[in-house]
Order: sequence, then structure tokens, then C-alpha cells
Amino acid sequence: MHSRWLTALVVLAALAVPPQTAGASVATSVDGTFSITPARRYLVARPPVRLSPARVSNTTPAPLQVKVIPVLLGQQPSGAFSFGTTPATLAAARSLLSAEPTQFTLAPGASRGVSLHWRRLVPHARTANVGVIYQAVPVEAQQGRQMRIVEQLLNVNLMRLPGHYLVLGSLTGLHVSQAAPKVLAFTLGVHNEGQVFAKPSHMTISVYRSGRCVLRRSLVSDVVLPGVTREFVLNLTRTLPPGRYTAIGRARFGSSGRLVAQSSFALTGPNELPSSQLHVGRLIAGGEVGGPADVSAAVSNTGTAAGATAIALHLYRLEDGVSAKHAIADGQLETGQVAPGDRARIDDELGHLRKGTYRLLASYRNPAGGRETLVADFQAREPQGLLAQLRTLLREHLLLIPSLLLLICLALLIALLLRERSLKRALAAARRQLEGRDRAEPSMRFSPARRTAPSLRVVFARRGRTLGGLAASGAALAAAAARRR
Amino acid sequence: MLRMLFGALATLAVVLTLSVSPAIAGIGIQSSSQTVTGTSLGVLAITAVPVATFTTGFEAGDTATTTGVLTLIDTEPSWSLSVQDEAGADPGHMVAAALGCEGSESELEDPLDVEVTSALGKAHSAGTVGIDGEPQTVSSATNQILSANIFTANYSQKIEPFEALRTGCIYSMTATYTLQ
Repeated sequence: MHSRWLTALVVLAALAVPPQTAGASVATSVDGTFSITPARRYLVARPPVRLSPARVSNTTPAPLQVKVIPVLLGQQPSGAFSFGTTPATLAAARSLLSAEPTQFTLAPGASRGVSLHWRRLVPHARTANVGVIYQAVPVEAQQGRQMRIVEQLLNVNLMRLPGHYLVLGSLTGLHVSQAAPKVLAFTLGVHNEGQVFAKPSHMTISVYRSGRCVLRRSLVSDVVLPGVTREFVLNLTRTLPPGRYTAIGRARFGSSGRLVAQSSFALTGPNELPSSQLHVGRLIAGGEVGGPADVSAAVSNTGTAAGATAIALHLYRLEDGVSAKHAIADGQLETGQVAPGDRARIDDELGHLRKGTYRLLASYRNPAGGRETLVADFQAREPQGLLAQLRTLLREHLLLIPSLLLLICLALLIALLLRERSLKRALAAARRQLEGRDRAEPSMRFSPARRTAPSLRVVFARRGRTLGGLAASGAALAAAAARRR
Repeated sequence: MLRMLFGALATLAVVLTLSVSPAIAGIGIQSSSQTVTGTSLGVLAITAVPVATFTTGFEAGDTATTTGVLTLIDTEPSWSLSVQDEAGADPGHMVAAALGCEGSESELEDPLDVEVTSALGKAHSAGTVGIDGEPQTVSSATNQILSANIFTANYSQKIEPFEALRTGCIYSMTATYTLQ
């Protein structure tokens, strides 16, 4: 009896464990964190000004080597802040916001402040968006490990002068895509046209079918830096049946009033947009010594929508069957749009071949998102002479020569037929003229054919064109005159 | 009977005491109220447990896999976790060690892939991402605070059949995770 109760209690306890602790067996190895505070600052002040110090803590059991690096902030369409790490951009960031100290070792359980100094603004600017990267690397060497990890935390400081700012924005569009099987993504693009960072408000996505609203969802707003277009995404798991829909995105942004963007889409299945399924088939590579490698690949689309893909090409020289360390040439093949059910062949030239063997690698993302790599090994051919080239041309274009001959024969036949037709017409006209000479208004020209035997030659002509002629001797003419009399 | 009477009296006494005590407390005492408010300062924290080694399939024609753990704290509901390889040459590719790798490929053909997942409903995983020199977002959210939440990093390294890997040669790379 007791054991049954105990079993039930154990089962209940197991069921009561929240799903997040599914990874707890892994999490037990995590002990402490590397942390900073504050994470973000929205500051209105006049530089130079000292900011409240940031606090950096290490609660891990290992000492950490910490670097503090000010960076200039940009923003990606996803909303994530981006930063440049070139020496010039890092120097520019330091000139706006300096940190002290810039590197230190943080013992386990220790924390310390980092003072930040907003020094100035870029000339004629009223705002500065500067981040500070706190980079931690365990002091213990990670040698011998295949994966070494560096941890970075980005503190964001959006600073501006006091005063009034123009806050304006617009919607760049609403795009519907397939985020995952049975998951639709509605992406609303918001562009900040104002002078300062701001957040759009009242962002909603509504979906209509046959004029009836079938779905309405709100989007969570966040900061958009000036001049940046940010994409706010709504992933929809609620199933919409196949059919045609219209999605309307609405938002407000500062003094821009109500903003609207619209998009129509069709579903071929429940929450299923038409999609492309591009597969790269046979890869062919070859080439002559002294020339480039000729690359050719066949692409087929087995999906329900047109699509394009890019194939990355790397050409290696093979030495004793092993590829060289570095590629001798890299390239990229763009397929262009391939219609659903269609096949396309794409060709390109790559690198410069010397005598030897080569390996061409072509990699692309397959429809499942995995990386596929195709391989083609080939030997560079010796260049061909003129005769060999002609032979190759004939061999490669077997149908070309008969086709040309056929075309020439056809042209000759047509010319002959036309000539015969025109001669027949002329002959028929001459016959008609001969049968009705009185109506022909002949012009007559006497020509002494022979001096010894006088004769008459009559030429019938109309509009300058000779239609026919008659010739008669003097005796025949005299006989004809006598008959007429 | 007597016991019941005592019980009723005791109950009455307790009720009276409780109802009167605030008035008693106020007699002869000056009170003042002070509102104390606290505004939470944003906190960012990260811990990535380094992965010692790939456990399976680190050979030509196979795909090696291993798992790492990230612990994240972010009090901003909108956050993003990215990964990149800051190596100067051919970032994202595991490189052979300087010693013990003669005749082996100097670096692997395919970049290292990583997928970061969590049990959080509002955290969006970017799926499998090939690591390269630019920061690649691996997980993000627009409305999800992180309070020491566990994320699992699933690494996979495809090794092509034509790649020559010498026994004992160690390939490695450094992944930089940035939380903002």
C-alpha cells in the first residue's frame, strides 16, 4: 500500500517538473555567469558628461580576462544592433564615448565598475548611438579543445541632446513568407524617417478572406534607429485553410499618423505558401590548358513556386589525388528564377588552368536548409589545333550541318519556283498578245535581217516590255497583202 | 459546560484584541509614510560552457555532432544572440593544429553549423546557421525576458568524403557569442 503511494508521489513529482528543466541535466554544469548592468541607456544630456559606471561581474568559478570596447551602433532589419570592428570605426567610437579601464582580469565572484565618459558628438549631430562590448575570455587556456568560446555582452547607449526632434516614419511593406512548416511569418517593414530613435506604436496585422477579417494580431514594438528600416515579424501558428487572402499591416509612428501596408497571398495547403524546391543535379567541369574551367550544372524545381539559388564554386588543384590547401579560384553561380516543374542549365567559367588535374566543389543550400556539396574532378585538356577544333565543332554540332544544307536547298527551290512562275506569266501574256494583235497596239520595227532576202520583224511591246515578236520574209508579206486585197 | 464558556470567552478576547490593536498602536505614535520605488537596471549575462570535443563522427564522409550549453540573462524583452568566428582567414572553418597534422587537410571544407534552441515559447531559433565572419543571429525574441535560461547549442560539422584527415590531428575553432 505504502509503496503504491510512494510510486504515485514520484510520478506526480515528475509531472510537476516544468518543461524548461528538461535541459537541467546539462544546466547543472553551468555555475555562475559573466554579467553587466545596465544593459541599455536612453540618455538626454549635453556632452561632455560622465555616465553612471557600468558594473561588470563574474560569478563563474574561473577568472576571466575582460576587454571593454566602445563601438558605433547600427541596426539590422531584425532589430539586432550591429557594430563595426575596423580600427577606424573603433577609434571613432572611442572619440565619442570612452571607457576606463579597457581591460582587466576579473576573479571568480568579483565585480568592478567601468566608468564611461560621453565626450562629444559628431559635428552637426544631435544624437549618438554608441555601444560598449564587454568581452570575456577564460584565463585558463582552452588549448586542446575543439570548440573555444568567447562571450560578449553588448551594452547599448542611445544618447541625444535636449530639445525637440522630428519623429516620422513609414511602412515599407508587408511580406508573407513560410517561417517553418505550417508556420506563416508576416513581416512588417517600418522605416524611421525622423531625427532620433523612436518606437512605432499600435502595430497590428489583420488577415481578410473574401472581405471578412479572419485574424487580427498585435506586434510588439521596439526601438528603430533613424534612417533604419526594421522588420517586425509575427509568426502565425494558427492554421489558415487554403485559399486567397489579403493581409493588412497598420501602425503609427510619431507625427506620421496612421500607416497602412497591404499584401495578398494564396495558400496551397493549410498554412502552406507556394514554395520552390530547387535541386542541383549533375555537375560538369572541364577545360583546356591555358583557359578557364568550364562549369555547368543542371537545376530543377520540384516545388510549387518559382525560385532561385546560388551555388558557391571552389576550384582546387589536385596533387597526388589530394586537393591543395587553398582554392585557386572561387566563384558563384546564380540560377535566376526557375519556374515550378522546370529545369535550367547554368554555365560559368572559373580560374585559369595549367596542365594537371583539378577538383571543383559546388555547394548550395538544399530545400531542407542543409548544405549540399557536389564534386567534379577533371584533367585539363591540351589545346586543340584548327583541324581538331573543326572536327570538334562538327562532332559537337552534328545536326548543324544538315540543317544548314536543308535550308540552302529550300531557298534554291523557292527561287526556282518563283522564276518559273514569272516566266509562265510572261509567256501567257505573250500568247494573249499574239492572239489579239489588233488590241495590242504593237509598235513595229523593221529590221533588215538579210540584204539578199528582205524580211520584216515585228516586235510587240507594251509599256516598254517586250511581249513577243514575229518575223516574215518579203515574199510572205506580199502574199499576205494579196490575200487581204 | 464550563469548558465551553471559557472557550467562547477566549475566542471573544482574541477577536477584540485583533480588531482594537491598530487603534492601540496609533495612540501616542507619530506615523509617516514613505514611498520606496525601485527601477530595475537592465542586466545582461552570459555563460557558455566550452565544448571539449566532438563526440561522434569526426571522420571523412560523416557528420560530427556535439552539444554545448549557454546560460543567458537579459532583462530587456527584445534581445538577440549572435555567433561569429573572428578568425582572419576563412572564418567558420575548423582549422588543423600546427603540430601533428602533416598531410591532413589544413582546414575543413564545410563551415561549422550551429543551432541554438531553448524551451522558451517566445524565443525564436534561427535554425541551423553556418558560422562565418559576420555575426549570425542564432536566437532572438521581441517579448521574452531571460532569467538564467538554458539554451542548447547543437554543433554539427560535415566532413566531405574526399577530405583527408590524419589520425590524431586536432581541428578547432573559436566561436564568439554576443548577447544584446
